[in-house]
Amino acid sequence: MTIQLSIHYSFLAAAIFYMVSLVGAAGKKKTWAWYLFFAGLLCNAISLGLRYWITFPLLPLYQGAFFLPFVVGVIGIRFGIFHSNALVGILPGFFIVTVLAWSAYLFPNDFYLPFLQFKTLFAHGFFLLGVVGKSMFLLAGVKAVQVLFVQDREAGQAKSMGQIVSWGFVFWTLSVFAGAAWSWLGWGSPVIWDDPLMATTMATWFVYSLLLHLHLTLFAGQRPRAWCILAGAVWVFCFNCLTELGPFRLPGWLS
Amino acid sequence: MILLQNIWYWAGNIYVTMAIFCFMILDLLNGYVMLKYHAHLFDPINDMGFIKWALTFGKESPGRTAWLFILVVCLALLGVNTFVCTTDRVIKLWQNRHRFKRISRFILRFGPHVMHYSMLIMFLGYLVSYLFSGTYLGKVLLPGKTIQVSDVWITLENLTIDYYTGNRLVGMEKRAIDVKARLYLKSGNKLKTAILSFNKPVLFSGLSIHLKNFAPKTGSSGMNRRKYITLIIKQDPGVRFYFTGMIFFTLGLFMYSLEKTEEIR
Amino acid sequence: MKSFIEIWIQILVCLVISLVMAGFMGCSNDNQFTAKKTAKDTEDLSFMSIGSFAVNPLGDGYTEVRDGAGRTLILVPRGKDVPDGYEASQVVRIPVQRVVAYGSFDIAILKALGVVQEVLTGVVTKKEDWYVPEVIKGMEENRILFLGGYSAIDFEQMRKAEPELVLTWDMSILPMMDEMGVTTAITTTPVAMCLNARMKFVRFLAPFFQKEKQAKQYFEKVSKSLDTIREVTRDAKQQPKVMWGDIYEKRVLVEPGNAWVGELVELALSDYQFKDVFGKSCIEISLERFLYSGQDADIFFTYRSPDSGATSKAALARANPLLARVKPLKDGRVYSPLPHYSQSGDKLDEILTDIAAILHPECYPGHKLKYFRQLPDTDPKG
Repeated sequence: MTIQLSIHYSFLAAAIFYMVSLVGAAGKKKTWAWYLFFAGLLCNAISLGLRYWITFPLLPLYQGAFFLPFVVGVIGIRFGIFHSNALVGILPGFFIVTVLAWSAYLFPNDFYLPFLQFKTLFAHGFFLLGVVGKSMFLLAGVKAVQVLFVQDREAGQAKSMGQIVSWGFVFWTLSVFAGAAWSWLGWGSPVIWDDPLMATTMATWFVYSLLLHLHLTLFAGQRPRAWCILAGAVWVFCFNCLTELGPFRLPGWLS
Repeated sequence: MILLQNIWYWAGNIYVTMAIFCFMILDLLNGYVMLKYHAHLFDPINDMGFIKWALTFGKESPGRTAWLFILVVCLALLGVNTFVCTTDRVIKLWQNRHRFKRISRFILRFGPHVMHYSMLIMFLGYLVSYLFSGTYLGKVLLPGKTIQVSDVWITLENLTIDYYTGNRLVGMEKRAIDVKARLYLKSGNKLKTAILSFNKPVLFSGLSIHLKNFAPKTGSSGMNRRKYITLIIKQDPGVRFYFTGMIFFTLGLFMYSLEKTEEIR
Repeated sequence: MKSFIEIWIQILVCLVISLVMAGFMGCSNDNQFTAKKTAKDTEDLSFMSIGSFAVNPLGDGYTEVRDGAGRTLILVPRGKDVPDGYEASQVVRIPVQRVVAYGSFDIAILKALGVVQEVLTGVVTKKEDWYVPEVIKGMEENRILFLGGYSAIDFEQMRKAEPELVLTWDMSILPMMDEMGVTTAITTTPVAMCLNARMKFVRFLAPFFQKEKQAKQYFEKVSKSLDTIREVTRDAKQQPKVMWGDIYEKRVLVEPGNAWVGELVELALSDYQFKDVFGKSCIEISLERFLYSGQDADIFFTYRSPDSGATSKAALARANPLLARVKPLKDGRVYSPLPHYSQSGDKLDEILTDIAAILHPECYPGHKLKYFRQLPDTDPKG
């Protein structure tokens, strides 16, 4: 029970740090905002580490919501998407991480117990690659906001936006393939027709396949592509993030 | 001739691709809702095959299953469109091969086309699977017992269930953490002994044998003390196609990523 | 080029509208029951899915059914040939004349079909634990044999019962039944039966005994009671929060939202605390979720009967102190199923009404519960 409480409170701490860092960034206290954001990432990492500790080699369903803010944060910083050059360099990124963290905290869906069929590398690959893919799609949306609203005409911005989408597609595809392999190993078929999330996963794959073909159409320009990528990020949030959440749960310390 | 050329042109048109994608995305969204609230209508596809499912569950509730029929049609259209478009571009790429200074650049440029053709191989695999595969459900084995599936005799020689005795894994106290079933398989003169476990199927004589369920799940006395396993046994000619397609698609992804990385340099 | 794009946009819009319309057409939840007969309900020769079960009349008296484990059985009228493509273990000669049944709900449905006295030859519950008069009488007259507990079946007794069909949840007996040449139908499903499937399950068993008419009458009776419940509770002022489950040592089991109880609670304008949980009946969830849902629940249905310790709220709390933290045990209402509840599936309409009366007592003044008992705070002294 102690470990479970630690998981709960470390994630709560992460969510609070993210929110305060967002407020700090909005208040132009960039240095403090960064310190708080890193503190949030650290608490998030502790929470995830403990989650894996109490379940590995298994993993219960619907854990992705807790991994997402951390992965978005790390990739955003590592690949310079959250950059300090301008306020708009960090605000959209901190905002998306905060929203992801608080939606995971207030709408948890992690009450199912782990099941033995999860005991394979393909299952973990399906899960983790999917989280990375989703993160890249959301980060591409952040980049699209920077392109659209910063009025930054550097050709590099649009190109990096396209690269993030491409990498997101790579991870998403590998996640789908790992899931298909897991499904075949466990149940004899690459597609099991009783999971509604399978439909949204495929739909997202087609959304980004469409986006990756935009350069062959009239929508090849920087701004149309940015709008499409932003729409894709909204799609991912609505149909791949929200669908994994549970009902609203008021935290015990608030009720 | 002109008519054929026009058909070929429109069949491979990128805007047709866009339209099919948009339609499929909306259809899959509809499918999400139907799967969420009526999963029992779609679960039988896993073992029945598409044709039989379409004539029974599919026909019974057309309002709830139409999205799947639409998806099949869209996939067929996408397959044709992809083939035409990709073939056009491969021909042009080959015709312009002299423009490439390095042969590696030329080969890597095939990356997207490898992906597209691989996708067609995957579609073919799914088509073959859903039309021609066979599933044997409800096959139960007790230790020492034998069942016959097609011309294969399967005997469960030994069933070992390990129960968790630690305290790290939450909710797993005294629960089964590992299951190993030693099977003896015989078909004509072919003999094989193999260990079956979760996510570790046994392949023999065209069949793939997967562990579906087992008992008892708890180390303490439970509802059912008799040791047994339940199997999913499949005969799926499409499996080679879709996994080959996935491997080549991944290769194409790798080639494409490498090409883009070289471009940046 | 511009007009070309306009044409494509117009085509897309038309397709989107048609998809959305198709979506709304199919969006009706199985939960929306009406007493109106649909063409499906009255047409005997069309395929019918019943949750995970299915009945597919093939014509000429033949019927193909799909049991809860997805196994296909072929029902062949006596005297007719077995069609090609079926193994011996899949064939059931109808009308079935000798049945062994594990589940008390299955036996109750046999009673609803009016065949329990004629066909039932073996059960897995002792005579003392039965409340169905036909079963008690059959056991006293040795027409119905006790085959041992469900975890220790006496197969010699099973042979004596000479069943033609075994209705069970226990897949481990399949190999033995195959050896005995007895066809088995699995009557439980990997996912909890929804309300529609629970009501219609009688139509899965009916073809085995050629009692489709009785099945329809039963279904209509239950359907009517559901309509009445909807009508009576429509203006209910309160929407109680309800939970259904229990804690056993460290295991927390609940009825998921897709189960018939969850759907009934929602239909009767109440709030089922586990409506978002999906899976099999008695699904295991985390203790934290159970306690969270319990902190503002008004009504708690326990799985335990009085025989297994559910005699009072205090007794439940003693059995598991964690349970004492849920609100119904502090100042709400707790209900336990009476021993004959599980054997009263033929009175499903009354059971549904009982549950509705528990949720909205103000809508059922003077109603006396027949299948549930409200637990007192403490056990009576003496």
